[in-house]
Amino acid sequence: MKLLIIEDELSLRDSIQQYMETQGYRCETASDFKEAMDKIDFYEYDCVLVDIGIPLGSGLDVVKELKEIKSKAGIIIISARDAVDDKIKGLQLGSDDYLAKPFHLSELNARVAAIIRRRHFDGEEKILFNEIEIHPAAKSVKVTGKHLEVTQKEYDLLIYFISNKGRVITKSALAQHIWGDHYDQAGSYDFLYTHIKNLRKKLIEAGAADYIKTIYGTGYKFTDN
Amino acid sequence: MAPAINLLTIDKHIQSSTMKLLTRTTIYYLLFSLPLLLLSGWLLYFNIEKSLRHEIDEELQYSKELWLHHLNNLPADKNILELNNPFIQIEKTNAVSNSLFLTDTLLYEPLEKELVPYRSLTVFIKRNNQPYKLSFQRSVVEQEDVFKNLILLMSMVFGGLLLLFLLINLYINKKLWKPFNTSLEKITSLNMQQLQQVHFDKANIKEFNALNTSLNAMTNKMQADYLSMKTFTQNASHEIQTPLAIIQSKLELLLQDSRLTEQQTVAISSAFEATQRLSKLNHALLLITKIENNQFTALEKMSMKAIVEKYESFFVEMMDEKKIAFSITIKADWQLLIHPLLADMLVSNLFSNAIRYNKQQGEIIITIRDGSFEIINTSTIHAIGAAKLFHRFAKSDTATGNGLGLAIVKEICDANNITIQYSFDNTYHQFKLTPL
Repeated sequence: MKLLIIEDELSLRDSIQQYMETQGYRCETASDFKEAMDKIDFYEYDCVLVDIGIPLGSGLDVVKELKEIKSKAGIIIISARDAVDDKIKGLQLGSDDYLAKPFHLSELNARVAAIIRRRHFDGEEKILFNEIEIHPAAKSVKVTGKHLEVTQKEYDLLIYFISNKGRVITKSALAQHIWGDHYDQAGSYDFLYTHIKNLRKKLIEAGAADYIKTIYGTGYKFTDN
Repeated sequence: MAPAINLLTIDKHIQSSTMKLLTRTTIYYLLFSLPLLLLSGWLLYFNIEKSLRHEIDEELQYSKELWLHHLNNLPADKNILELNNPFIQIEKTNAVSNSLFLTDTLLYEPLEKELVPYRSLTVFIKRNNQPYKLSFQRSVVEQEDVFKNLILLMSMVFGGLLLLFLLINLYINKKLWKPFNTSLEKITSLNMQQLQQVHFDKANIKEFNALNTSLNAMTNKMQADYLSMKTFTQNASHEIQTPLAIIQSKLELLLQDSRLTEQQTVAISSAFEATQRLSKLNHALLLITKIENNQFTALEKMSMKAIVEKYESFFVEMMDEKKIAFSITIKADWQLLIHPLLADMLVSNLFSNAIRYNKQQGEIIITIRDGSFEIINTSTIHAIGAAKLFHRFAKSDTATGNGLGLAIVKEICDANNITIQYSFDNTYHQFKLTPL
């Protein structure tokens, strides 16, 4: 899977590249509009991450160009402008998603994975993790071939964990993923623990190994070693 | 000086009340013309009276001359007492005086059957050595009548003036003040947030022209300032978010390092949480600025019921954590004109506040009526001082938020003509929203 990261901030670009590469993506980067246009015209990508505010042009024009050349790449806009207008404009132009800076790398990764899944397999692909099997189209979870009943939130958490397998995921990243912008209204992560506790219990009872590790004071890690 | 004092008190009264400029000028015109009319009325009365008297006196003198001439030409044996008639009274007298008397007297008027004022002239003559007293009388027009007529006349003049003023004002209002009224209308309907370009046209009256020119300059400046402030706040936010994004991403990467000790992980996590808080704070401050600048234009009415219901499922989870008893009563829906984002913010801030500061097994009651939204909750904290309740960064000791929640609520209310009231009755904190 090949990604193009269009971002003028070197440090941020490096962080994204580093995180995504450990997730198994091949990453290319562009630091301005011209470089971005050159790359999208010559190469095919599975997903393009576009910052709106880039030198020599606008990220929105990159999105337009991608749509014009009928690129198969998924598009995620990353912008420091959390303006509703920008968001709507970006989505109207045909981008698949929108992330406001600052964002969690784990969240970006989960969204890239979801878009690639949708674009390449029409959601028909199975997500496999050892004995856990997820069918995104049916939103069903199987453990060792047997159906496991989970709530919407538990399902979202599981997908998020598997997308970021082996990585330390912070509590705030999880809370924001599950509750969106509301999460900062909560004031505590107490209710996140409940959902994770329940998911963990269900998975273990269904015969899965205990993959959800608590990282003290930080968050969780979904790992099989 | 009575009228002057009167005028002053009336003036005070006029000053204190709001009325149309033209109504006020009319009142002033009339107030000043009233004493003028009274004065001229009095002078007129005085003068007419004087000249009438003079005229009558002259007439009496004239008829006296005529009569004396007539009497001199009469034969000597003619008994002049026979000549008595309404215009001349002749009577014998003992004393003879050379003087001539002009007197005012009241005589019975048989036609009107009342005493009427007369002016009379008395002279003495000698005829055949017999002194006679001759009296001539003329009826004086009654003063009362003159007075009545004058009052009537003056009232008519006053009424005429009033009518004239009104007509002139109507004309002035329509014609002369038209450019002013047009400009006024434009300013009132001016909406900075929609950034429409306004232009105040050239008027053919110097003062209005000057006003319009200044208005043009002012609105252009305001618009430019508004635009630059808008871009400034957005750019400032952008500039802050980018370094935050870098810090956050670096910390997140750092957390992945398996060589970290637990202590190091916790330290990185704290730094990570701090950047989150900073970012939220930045968002909140930007939001407040945007609300203050009226950058959220309400386009449609929002249903309070729908907004609360949207948040219910999310907040129910939070309430379950604290085992809070929640009840909601919807008597009628409240439709209010507000930007959807602000509507969400308003409800979710109040709702989350009620949960965050609630105690274990507490209580939350929401009531929606047509025109009011009420949220009542128990809490671990006591009454909040109303003065600093809505202040930015004012927070209680147990607070975990950034202290901007209620400040945002207040800003949203202010920008959308909503009144927010807070009360505490020893058990329950209550926030109530009503239209302004």
